[in-house]
Amino acid sequence: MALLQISEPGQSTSPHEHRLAAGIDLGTTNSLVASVRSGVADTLDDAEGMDILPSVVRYTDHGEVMVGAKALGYATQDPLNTLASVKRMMGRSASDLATLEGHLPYRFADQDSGVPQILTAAGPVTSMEVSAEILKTLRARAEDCLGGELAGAVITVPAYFDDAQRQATKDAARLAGLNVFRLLNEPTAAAVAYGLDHQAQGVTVVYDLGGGTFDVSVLALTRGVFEVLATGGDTALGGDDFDRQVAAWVLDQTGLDVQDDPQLLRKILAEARKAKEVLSLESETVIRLEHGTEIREEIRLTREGFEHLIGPYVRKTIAWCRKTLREAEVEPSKVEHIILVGGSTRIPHVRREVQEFFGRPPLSGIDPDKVVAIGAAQQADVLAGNVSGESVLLLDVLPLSLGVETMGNLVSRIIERNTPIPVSRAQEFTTFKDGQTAMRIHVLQGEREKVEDCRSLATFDLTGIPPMVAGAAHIKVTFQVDADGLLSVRAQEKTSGVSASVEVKPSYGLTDTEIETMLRDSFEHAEQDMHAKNLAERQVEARRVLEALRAALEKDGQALLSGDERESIMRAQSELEAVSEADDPERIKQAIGSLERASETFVARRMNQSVRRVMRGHRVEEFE
Amino acid sequence: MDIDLTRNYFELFGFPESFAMDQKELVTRYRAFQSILHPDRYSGKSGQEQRIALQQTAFVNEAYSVLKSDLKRALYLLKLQDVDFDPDTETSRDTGFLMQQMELHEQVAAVDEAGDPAATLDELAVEFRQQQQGLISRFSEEFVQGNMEAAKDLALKLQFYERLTGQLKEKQEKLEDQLL
Repeated sequence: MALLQISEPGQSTSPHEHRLAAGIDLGTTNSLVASVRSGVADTLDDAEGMDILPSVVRYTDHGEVMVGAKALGYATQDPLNTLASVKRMMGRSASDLATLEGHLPYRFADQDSGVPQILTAAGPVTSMEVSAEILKTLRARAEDCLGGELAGAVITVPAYFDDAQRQATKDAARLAGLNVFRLLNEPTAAAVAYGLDHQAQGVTVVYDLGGGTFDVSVLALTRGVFEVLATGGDTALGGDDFDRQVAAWVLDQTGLDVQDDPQLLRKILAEARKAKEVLSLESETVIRLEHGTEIREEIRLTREGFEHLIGPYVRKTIAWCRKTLREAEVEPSKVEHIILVGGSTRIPHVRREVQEFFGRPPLSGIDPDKVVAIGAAQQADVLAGNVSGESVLLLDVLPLSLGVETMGNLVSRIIERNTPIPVSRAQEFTTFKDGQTAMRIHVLQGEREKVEDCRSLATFDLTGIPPMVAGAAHIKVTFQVDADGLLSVRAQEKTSGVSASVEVKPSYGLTDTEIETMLRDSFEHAEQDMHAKNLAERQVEARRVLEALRAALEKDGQALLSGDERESIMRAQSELEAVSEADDPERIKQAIGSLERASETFVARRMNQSVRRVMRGHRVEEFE
Repeated sequence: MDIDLTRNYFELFGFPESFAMDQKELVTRYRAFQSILHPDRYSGKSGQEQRIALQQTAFVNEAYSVLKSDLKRALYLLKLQDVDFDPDTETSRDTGFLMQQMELHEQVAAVDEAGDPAATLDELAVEFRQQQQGLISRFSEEFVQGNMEAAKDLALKLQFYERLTGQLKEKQEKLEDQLL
């Protein structure tokens, strides 16, 4: 595999310094952080020796913020200020909440649109801010354990997350002061943890049954490239359903009435959960319901009985596997590895059904609760530049189709789902009135035909279109999706060459200004600190840009540039050198921008040179 | 082999402008591009390099998706030959084929009433695949001989089958969803 050993130009310019990196599994119920230490990836513990951080945040009226087990302890006592499962709200609008509200027993600000605000004792908060608190806690833990500042992190997201949900996750990281190397799909992370990226090739299925959600993904590995072929699942199916089934059976057997006794229901649910866990190891268990010191009920539940109760749910997950495999155009017998993720996959019945369907046993060896975080940590280590030599490339696909609204309330697809990303695609639009100078484009994501059945991502106003007769203006709108699955848009009027300005109004997310404001608010001495932080960041960036350019010029400046070209780069270079010691972050930013523009061609030529070097003279056999 | 965003997809991948495509070689070259250009290879680099890497990878991905698909490659070749038409609105002028189209549409619509819809869908899918294979090899012949009008007509027919197959898939999905 000569190809993947090529180090130019992806490796860091400076000789190896170890950069601290972490993988974060930001889960609905629990979150974890992991890192590679002495070559081994493992989860990091808090001061009490716990690695699992419940994804729960509590806000008190003294403005205190509690995160994790401490917050969870107040769930019953202070339910309105103790926020759990906010992952379900990420990237969702106020109007979406109606469909989720049954599960989210919080008070919301009265609003028709925009980012929903949860009203807490400490004031209104968004799901991004709540997630940021979880991320901050994990970041602090990682920096404690690793003994330094994190260079960056890989954060995992469900493979089916749409643009708004991914953006919200990235915004939360930004609020937590985390540099995100990459958003990685959870199933891909799990496959990395099992080292499947080092295998020659094969199809892998990741079966992820958590507390409240079920996902299945089909991945194909071919010579160091991981592709997500298809993904499917049910966002309202999980281990909690098993608990509810057992609880319902208990009520049925005992004739107990919980109508006016939520305390008793909670108790029964807790016992049901315990029984479920015991039945993964034993063939039967006794469910005891105590009332004070006296035992109220005692019921025996066998493993067979339990399996009968959860059977319909498990069958449903298998139906999803079948459907997703068909979408990936893969036969069950062609699947080489099955990876189990999520605590509910400890249940023997689940394992058996999975094994039966695929005709082979699932992989085991890594704790199904930790496997995603461990894979994320390994990838973070690669992206931090700590892994020398051959490293795999994780290629992802767009999880849901992107399109725009057209006449008649219909969606016209521009990029189909399961297209490899990054990808960019252009579409032409025209005016339908004489002299029209502006146009509104509505971007949607989803598989359905009607606008109202898809997710609205953003509206773009194209302005400054030169006035022409209807249909004469040709506006080329380019949609670009990056490696994280995030969309950006640019537009140009073709006949006149005028770039129409694009104003992005995210339907659900935060604008850059809002994030800035939140960040500023989080600093105690707002203005001064912000300025100092900004300046320090810009100076570091300037030094890095200058250093990289110096090295590149030394190596290829003579061969790839004409005298004039070299001169104009060097002018911009000295300009940046002069400015970078000054006390003005804005000027440094501008000087970096000018230098980047001046050296754009040079950078592109260098990339081409390395492409040519790899492609030249290689025959098919050598790549294999 | 430069990543020049104005070059055509065949040039980009170093292939001759022809319909025949060595899929194995295509995949090999695609991976070679990705392994150098993918933004993950630039995570420690400047924002500028990351942006360029993103643009170039996106372009390579788009080119790859066109070259990989028989239909997309056929339409793209015709476009390069300046055979100008809008594949979204235009249809084949072959009247015999028009009749056939109507029949096929009816067959697909009738699946819902079939005794075993799933099996009927599978049968139709196999039949469509055979038809498509036939059209693909005929397109290849006509294109090589420079009969662009005939090639265009075949591409339009191929597109028809592609859409019809899409409808089959949707029906299949609906059937499966009912089981969930």
